[in-house]
Amino acid sequence: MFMTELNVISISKSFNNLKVLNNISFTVKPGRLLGVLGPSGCGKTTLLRILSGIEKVDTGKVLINNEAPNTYKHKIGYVPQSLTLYPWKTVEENVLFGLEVRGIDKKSSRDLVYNLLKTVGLYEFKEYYPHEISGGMKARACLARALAIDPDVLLMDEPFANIDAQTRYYLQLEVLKIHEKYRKTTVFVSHNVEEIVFLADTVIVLTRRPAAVKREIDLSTILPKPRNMFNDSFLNIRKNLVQLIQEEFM
Amino acid sequence: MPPLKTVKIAAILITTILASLTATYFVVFNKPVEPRHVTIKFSYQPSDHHLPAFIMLSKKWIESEAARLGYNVTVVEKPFPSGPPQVERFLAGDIDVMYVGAAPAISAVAKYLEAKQAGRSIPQAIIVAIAQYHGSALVLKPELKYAGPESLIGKVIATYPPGSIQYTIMINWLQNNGLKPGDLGDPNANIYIKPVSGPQEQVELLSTGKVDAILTPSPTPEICEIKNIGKIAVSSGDMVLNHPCCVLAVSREFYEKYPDLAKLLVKLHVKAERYITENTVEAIEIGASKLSELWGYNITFTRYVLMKVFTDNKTRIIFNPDPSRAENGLTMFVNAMYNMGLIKIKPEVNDLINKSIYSEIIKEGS
Amino acid sequence: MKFRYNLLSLLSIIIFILLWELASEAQVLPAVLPKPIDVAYSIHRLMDKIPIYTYHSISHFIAGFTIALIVAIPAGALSGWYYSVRAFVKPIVEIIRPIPPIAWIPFVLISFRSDFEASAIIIFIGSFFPIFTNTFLGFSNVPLEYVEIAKTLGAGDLDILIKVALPSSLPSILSGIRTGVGVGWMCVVAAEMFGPPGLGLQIMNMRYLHDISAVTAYMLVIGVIGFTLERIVRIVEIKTLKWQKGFVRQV
Repeated sequence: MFMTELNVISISKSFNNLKVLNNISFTVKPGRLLGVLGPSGCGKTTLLRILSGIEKVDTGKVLINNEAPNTYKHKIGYVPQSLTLYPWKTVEENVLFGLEVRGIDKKSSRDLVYNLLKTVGLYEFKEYYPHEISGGMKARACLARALAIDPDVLLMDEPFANIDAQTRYYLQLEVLKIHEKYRKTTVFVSHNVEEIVFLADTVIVLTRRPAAVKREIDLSTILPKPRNMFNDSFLNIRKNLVQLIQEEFM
Repeated sequence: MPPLKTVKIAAILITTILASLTATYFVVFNKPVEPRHVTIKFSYQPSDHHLPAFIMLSKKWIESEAARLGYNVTVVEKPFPSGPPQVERFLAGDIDVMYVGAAPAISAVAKYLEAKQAGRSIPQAIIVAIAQYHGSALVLKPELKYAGPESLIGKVIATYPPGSIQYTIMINWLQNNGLKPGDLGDPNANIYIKPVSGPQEQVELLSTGKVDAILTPSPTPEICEIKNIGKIAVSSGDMVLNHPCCVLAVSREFYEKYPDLAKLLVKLHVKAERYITENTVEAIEIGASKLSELWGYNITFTRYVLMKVFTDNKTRIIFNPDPSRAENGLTMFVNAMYNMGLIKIKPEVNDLINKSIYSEIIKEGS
Repeated sequence: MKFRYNLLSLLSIIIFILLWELASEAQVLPAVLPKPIDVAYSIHRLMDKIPIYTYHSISHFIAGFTIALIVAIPAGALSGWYYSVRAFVKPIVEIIRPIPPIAWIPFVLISFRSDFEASAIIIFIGSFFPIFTNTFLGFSNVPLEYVEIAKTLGAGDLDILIKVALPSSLPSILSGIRTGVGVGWMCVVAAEMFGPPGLGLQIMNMRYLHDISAVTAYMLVIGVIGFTLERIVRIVEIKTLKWQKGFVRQV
């Protein structure tokens, strides 16, 4: 399967003279999951909004497979922090939406969508409305929606921030499973260190606002997957990362 | 000869008593009279049918004659576009004196009797004199040819609202000629009657061609002919012979409170009607001035209209104040209105008219 | 629960009629208030005429209201969605809105050939503004996240307008339609004052005959029909918006 490389080169962004992102650069190799950590309010969401195309950079550039992002050519799967689903559509219809606006008719996409729903475990709930499902299920629906368009890059913005610990654990396993299966080049933003250590191939830690890359760590060589949250190397790395973040508050 | 002291005392006593008696006499029996303040709410319509009203109002006869009776009168004028809205206000107690069509006056009395039956009291109208007979006409769009009532089948005719003389005459005449008038939504009708509230609306509808004909009181038919908006086809006098049209009516409350003023109004009405016959040119001038004010036309035009009214008299107006002459006509109206469902009780002639005031005035001579 | 609600409502109507009867007996308002029994009798007497007049009034209403839907919804949608359209349209709407439908009668009488058209236009003027305003609010308040997500999924502007903004605004639009039905129907008297046949005209005619019982009877008929129309819209609203959270409402 074809996998995409994502390059971010020296991007900066300000809002009304408030500098939020300061000269950020990183690369996500094809099929890898990049975890982005940083103190709250440092600009992680802004970074993702830029990658998804909703915001524009002030300076620097983003490259997808060495090309500038192009809405016709490139497909971006975005899971927002708000886990927004259209309340007038059922789960199934929400997941279909990305295909619908690309002109793919319902009949041909039906099987694809059903398989996706089964993968995220929402098949039995496909005819439910968003107000009838739990937060965890909404997260899964958003993930399925993002995957339905067969994106080149998958962006996830703290999707489990408002979900209880137990459900979160299962969802993290889901993400891992899906990443194994589909091998999408992914950027996963979180403030939860454990989550990042569990999921990420590479981690970047951002400084306080204006955010710059404080440290980049390649976990894939240190911690082979699947990872055990309770073994020493895991906890060690976790400790290091926590310290890195806490430094930003000194 | 009594002692001088006694004589003096007696003289003083007698003088004092006489003086007191005289003073008392003047205080009690010969007080200089304070003029009583009276407001008269006086209503009429913008038609030459009410010329007697315009004459007595413009010459301020009411104020000056009432002063001689010891009244300080303020006349509040209330013009209305047609009879039914006028009677509506009368029944609410807002009017003392009406120049109004006989049919609306009849419906006012019928309403009073109805309320009385239900145990409540509302203002009662009393007809004290007649203003005139006939005076309305059916005016057709210029392009239509009138060939008898049947030629009106399928046409739309605008007239005053139900309860007015024009409406009553229109329906009555059409029905007597075997036709079926009804309102625009009526599936059984072959002639359509559209009620509008006043003459200016009628003129507008006829001139824009939105209706085919109007039945309207003078001077509207003459205005239509002069402006080339329509042609007079039939006068109301030909539709219903000898029908009374407008009357002078007062409320029972007013009559009981100021019987002398009520009598004065009838006297001035008779005087005004005589003035119309004997001083026609001045009467026209007064009418032109009033109507131009009410209609918003310039006075030269209104004067011309009134001259046509009096010279051609296509609507066949006859001015005659005697109420007894109208008894048959009023009875005819009562029956017609009852049969049309416009009134629910049939007033007797005695419920409608008070002839005694008029007779008194004629007897007192002039 | 529903039984108790209906029982209380019925009780309220009975008490109202009793108070009405007392007030008319006591002649609290001079000679104006007809007795309930008189009104009931009038309704009975007019029973054969009421259907045809209702037919006429409803025709006027449907004609005017349909035009209002056709004009107001697109106008409101585009004004809510595009700043330039809003800048253009809104000032005019705001100036015209306070003018009551009755005030339009002179204009309408000059401009429209047939009575039917004229009365439909009066009803149009009444229904237009609630529909416009609520549609406008719906479209101008589409949550930003909805639009952004659609953009990331690759939706074009037209798709966003039709597939995101419109469904998102639908609750407001339907609410505006419901209000528009109410206001538009209330205009039926104004629309028929100058002659077109219907319930409103009958109120004028009965007024000139000083038949207050008949006037009240027609008023009641108008009220009942207006209530029914609004109920119908409400049911459509509920059926269409079943996806809304917290739909524990009583019909």
